[in-house]
Amino acid sequence: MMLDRIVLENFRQYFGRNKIEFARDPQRRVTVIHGVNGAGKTSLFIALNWCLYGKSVDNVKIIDNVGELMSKEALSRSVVGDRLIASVELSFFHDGDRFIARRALRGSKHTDGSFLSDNGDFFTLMRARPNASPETINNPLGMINAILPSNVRTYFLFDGEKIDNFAKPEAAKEVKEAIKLVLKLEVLERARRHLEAAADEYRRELKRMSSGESQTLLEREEQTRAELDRDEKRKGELLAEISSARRKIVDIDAQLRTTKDARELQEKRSSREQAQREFQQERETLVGQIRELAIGAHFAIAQPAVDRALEILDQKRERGEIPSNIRQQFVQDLLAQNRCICGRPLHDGTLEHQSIQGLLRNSLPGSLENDVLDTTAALRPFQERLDRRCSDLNLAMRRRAELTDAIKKLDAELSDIQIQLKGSKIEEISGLEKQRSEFLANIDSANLEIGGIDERMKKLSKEFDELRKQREKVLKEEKRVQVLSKKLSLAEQSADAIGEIYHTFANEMRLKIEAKTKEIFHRLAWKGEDHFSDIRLSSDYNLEVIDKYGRPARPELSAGERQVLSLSFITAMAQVSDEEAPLVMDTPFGRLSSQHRNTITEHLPNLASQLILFVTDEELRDQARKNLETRIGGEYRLQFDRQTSCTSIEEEKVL
Amino acid sequence: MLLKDRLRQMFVSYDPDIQRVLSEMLDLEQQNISYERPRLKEQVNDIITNVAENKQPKSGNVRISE
Repeated sequence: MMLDRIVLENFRQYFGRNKIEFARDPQRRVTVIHGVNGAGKTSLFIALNWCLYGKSVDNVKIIDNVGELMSKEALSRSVVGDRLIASVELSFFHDGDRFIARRALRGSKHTDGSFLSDNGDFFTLMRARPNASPETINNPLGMINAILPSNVRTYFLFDGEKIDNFAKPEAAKEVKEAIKLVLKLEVLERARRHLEAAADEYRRELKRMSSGESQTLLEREEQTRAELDRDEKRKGELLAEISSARRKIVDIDAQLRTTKDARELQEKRSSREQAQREFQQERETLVGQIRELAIGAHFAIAQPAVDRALEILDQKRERGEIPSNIRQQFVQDLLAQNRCICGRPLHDGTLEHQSIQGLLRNSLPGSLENDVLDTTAALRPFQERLDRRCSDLNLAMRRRAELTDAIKKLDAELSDIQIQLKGSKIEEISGLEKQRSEFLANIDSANLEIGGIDERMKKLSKEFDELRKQREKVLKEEKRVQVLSKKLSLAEQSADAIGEIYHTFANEMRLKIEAKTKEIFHRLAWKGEDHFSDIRLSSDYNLEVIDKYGRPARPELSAGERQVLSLSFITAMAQVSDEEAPLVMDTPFGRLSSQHRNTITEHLPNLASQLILFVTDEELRDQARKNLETRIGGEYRLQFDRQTSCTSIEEEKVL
Repeated sequence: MLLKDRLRQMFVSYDPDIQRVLSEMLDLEQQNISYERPRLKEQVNDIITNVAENKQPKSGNVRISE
């Protein structure tokens, strides 16, 4: 990120529009903004942060009170209800693209004179590419995080007087956090964690889906199919047995008919059997009819309600309420015309008018009267239909009972014939009859078994259909299992890959930062290498300074030296991370002696891709000023007007 | 060597699919680095699914590791 320009409008003490163009030239990359205490350096610093990050990002607080951002001067010059805007527009370059970020706070002046802001602020981020129209960034926060995340910004945009944190003895945690954030170790850790969580999820899903269900289903399907085939075959055998037994019975009957002593009985049996078949057939038909009649008689349930409805209608008829003597439409027409059929006028309030009104109350609308008459006509046959149906049902039941008796009687006769033939003294006859009985018994057994088989086959067919549906569903899922298996493998291997490189990468970065911090610190600390022989960043991220005696010297560092060590560490991180980010420092030299000011101003422009300094005149003078002069590409002065309490930004001529 | 290049170099021996997952995952995490506990379950699944099914990533306007 290289800052290009900032435009403030009605932002805190910056009334109206104020602009700063930041220096970006590689030779003159320093922008100096002068201002006495209270002139507005910190407000400008806040403007930069607010524009990019708003009030807060997640739990990272950027500024304290948004309400105080509106210019008091702008507010005082407006009247109640006036619309007001405070905004900061920041233009910057990143990876060859130019971006324009704008955050605006809108609202109106309240009756008590305060500023009543609309709900939240409005942030837009646009990218302008050469030879292309500007595009609005759909995910501005994501883009800003990709460029300079809010929790990393503190290492690039900071208050110079408060940056000695990294050099304090208890700062290992902060140092580690800074390295993790700036050098993408946090990104790697999070990616690994999220990939492992995804792998866990896929593993669970896979376990659920690939439980060998399809194999089990296929096996069950095969078993069911085999059972069905076996039953089908057995049924065929039984039917063949029945057919054979029946043929043999026909042969036996023929033989008995030709045998003198059995002929009469056999013929009697044939006729009884014929009669029995006819009765059975009639009874079956009758049973079907009885079922139909019983099902169709459901309206009998409504009979009490129908009877009551007819009773009410009859009573109304007896009282003369239906049909009414006077049609409602007729009465309404008289009232509309204000004249009776006898010619008398019908004015409001007259006795005649009241009398006609009374008729209207007793009359029914024509359509309702017709409906009442139609309903009566529809309900009357209801009872007749029910009576007819009950009578039909009784007749059918009676006939069924008669047929059952007749069949029983024929059964008894046939049994008697069988006994007579079996007990015949003529061996041939009794033998034939015994054989006949056995064949009949065989037919009964076979039919019984077929009944069982049919029942089971019905059940198996249903089960088979169900299994086939389940198998089709499972096969579809198996395709998903293949994809899921690949996803699991990708998630696992990607997480492992991060794990494998993480420590090597982290260690490499730590050593690079250690070397770079040492190099920069030796340049910036005026005591130099003679006094501070080494800088060490231990594996547990403890930043240590070693003196010429080989002893840890950090506890003895002065406040200025701690600030220089922190600055060395920050610039080392910026260089190792290769993030092209500006170094924006608010009052960077306030606590430093001239020796450190001189060394920092001499070397700092070479350590950052862009340097923006908010300074008081006292901070930047003499040699320090001379050191920077050839590197300054832009210089501004914040002028505070005591009359208006506003600050204006004035550009100074660069030498 | 730049940080991004060094990171990419460390993953170069891995399968191209793994490299693609890692590249997109690092972009996603970077975009959400400001959040303490970002909810990225769906996006992570999308990245892995797209690579598993050999689909091209959805075009977005945040690309940092190219």
